[in-house]
Amino acid sequence: MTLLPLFSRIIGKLKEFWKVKVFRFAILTQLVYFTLSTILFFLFFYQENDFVIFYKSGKIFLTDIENLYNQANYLWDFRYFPLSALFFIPFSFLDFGLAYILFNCLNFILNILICLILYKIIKVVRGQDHERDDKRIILYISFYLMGVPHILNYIYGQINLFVTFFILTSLFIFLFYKKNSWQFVGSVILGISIIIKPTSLLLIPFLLILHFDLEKRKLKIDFFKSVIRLVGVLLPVLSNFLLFIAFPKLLGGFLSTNFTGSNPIALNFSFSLTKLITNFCFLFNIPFNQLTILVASVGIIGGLGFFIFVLRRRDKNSILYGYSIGILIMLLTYYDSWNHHLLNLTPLMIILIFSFPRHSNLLNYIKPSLFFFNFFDLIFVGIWYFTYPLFPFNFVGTFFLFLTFYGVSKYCIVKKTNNINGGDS
Amino acid sequence: MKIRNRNLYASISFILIFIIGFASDVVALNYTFGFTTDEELVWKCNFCDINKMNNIFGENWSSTGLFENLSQGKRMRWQGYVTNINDTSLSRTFNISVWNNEYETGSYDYSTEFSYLKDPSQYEANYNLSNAIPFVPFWLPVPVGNYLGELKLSSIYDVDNRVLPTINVQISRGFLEPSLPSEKVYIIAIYNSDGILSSFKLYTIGNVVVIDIIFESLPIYVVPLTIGLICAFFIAIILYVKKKRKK
Repeated sequence: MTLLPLFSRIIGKLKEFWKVKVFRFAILTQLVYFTLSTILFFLFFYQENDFVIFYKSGKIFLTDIENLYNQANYLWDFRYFPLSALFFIPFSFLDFGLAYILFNCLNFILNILICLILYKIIKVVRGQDHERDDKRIILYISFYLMGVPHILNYIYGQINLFVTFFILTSLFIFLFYKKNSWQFVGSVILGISIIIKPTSLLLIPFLLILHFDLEKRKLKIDFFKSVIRLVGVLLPVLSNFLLFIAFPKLLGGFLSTNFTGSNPIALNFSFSLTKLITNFCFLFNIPFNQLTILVASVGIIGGLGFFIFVLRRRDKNSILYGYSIGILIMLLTYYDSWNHHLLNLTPLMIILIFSFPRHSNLLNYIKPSLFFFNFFDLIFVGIWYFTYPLFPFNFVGTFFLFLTFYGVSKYCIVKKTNNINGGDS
Repeated sequence: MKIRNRNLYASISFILIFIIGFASDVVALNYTFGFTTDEELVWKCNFCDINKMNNIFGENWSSTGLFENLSQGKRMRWQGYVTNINDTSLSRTFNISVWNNEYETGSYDYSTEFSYLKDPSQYEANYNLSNAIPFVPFWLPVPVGNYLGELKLSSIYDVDNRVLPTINVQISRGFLEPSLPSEKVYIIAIYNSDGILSSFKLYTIGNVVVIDIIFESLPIYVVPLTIGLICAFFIAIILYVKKKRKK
């Protein structure tokens, strides 16, 4: 019964959005992506997509869990936490083609829900100097829906939208509800997103309510809330370790596939800094240890990001900046950062644009990056295929990741100065 | 307006029915050659640590086979001259000039035939592509990714088709003979879309490369496209910064 008013409010809001031409165009674009992807899937990618892996993982989880990381069972490596396979069990009972279509229908619905959460969050974080009507918000939400990374997400039957949905839901809870019980719920939801795909793993440190006041030279920590959040996020993540303890073979498979096997060495078009380094070493025959490079990248970029987060001069909506920095660190440092992973980042970038002052100079870093990720990044994946024998570096995406990182970091730590026109929000 | 909407819904329904119609169709692939019979294939050895190879595989590793006379800077040339395709297999005979320092040479050292089953699933389970160095073939039928994907290879192989058709090989100590190789070695073999081995790296623990071989004939667009990409990137940044400064 309580869901009914919520449902009618959602429909009401969507009707409002529908009145705006660009939103109608964005929905049409989504339908084109959906249809095109489905046609391409059945014509060319039926046996070659990520959904094959998820579908099989659901089956193996039920029938032969010890061999969940036996890569001989899959076309490509299954690399996620073991509990992620739980999500695919219902699909694994269906015919593969039908399961794929249903899964992508769910992806489409998730996109609509993501838009609604995005709208709600932007309304809260939007600065005072922004337009008071919703036209600009709907415009940016439409940009998100029109994003080219959706094509690959649909074709591959990927699970990024689940991750985005859970990240935004937890962000929504943290921004709207301050009670400890809600802090716990928000962090459990983030933990679920990590189970589905560890892209949001590096968001965990940013759940700490830790702030070094540079003016007063005083470290502030909300110990109790931080512990609640940590417990909440770690509960779902650590539940995977129950499986690792019960089936020790799983842990070895998980570690080897993700960190030490041949997979991280393979030449590919990932735009992460770590992959650019390993590709460089591969090209020039420089001996390297992939794990050392990963740890060093996470240590340096992650450390810098966390340091900036702790030293921030703006406490309002700090969780938003923490989440943004966390995802940026992940995309910059994990071996494989693909075009469709950007669907985890672009909604946060849209929120950032509204949380920054309307005419801030720092938007010159965020906006071009958003448009690059949303519309042009895929082109450079295509170019990589032509240049890789000589130049196997998909570096443009990395550049824009750093640009965004710089923009967010600068906004967090720089005092209200001339560099940031429009003042604090 | 209503008629327009009805047409839109009808079109979407038609497309969905069309898609679902495909759902049960799995088309059998017709594997074939990715390059013409008379195309010359040249590989160059960028790096070869002969002492290390002697330590790992013994002194005779370069006396026969596809690594005969291999050392840094040398090239190997292949040219096909007979192609046979029947219902079950495809084969091609190549003239092979073993690794040497001469780039232009008319004579070949020997001829050999390479054949593949047209249906890769017909190979036995735990199949080894080769039981001797280099453990991987220098060409494969196309589409190469699908062909590799359908092979039921032995546990020393790990095929990765996500981005580039790649074979990762792990050869344990004593795989060939009780003491050979003397340590664990790894191979990464990457194939181009024509099914030709485009990069071969043999390395030891710590990614220390012992042999690096590349397919020499880069497509004509690679160099201009790479230079164009880098130049366009820097020009775009300079123009953007200038534009913003003017404002």
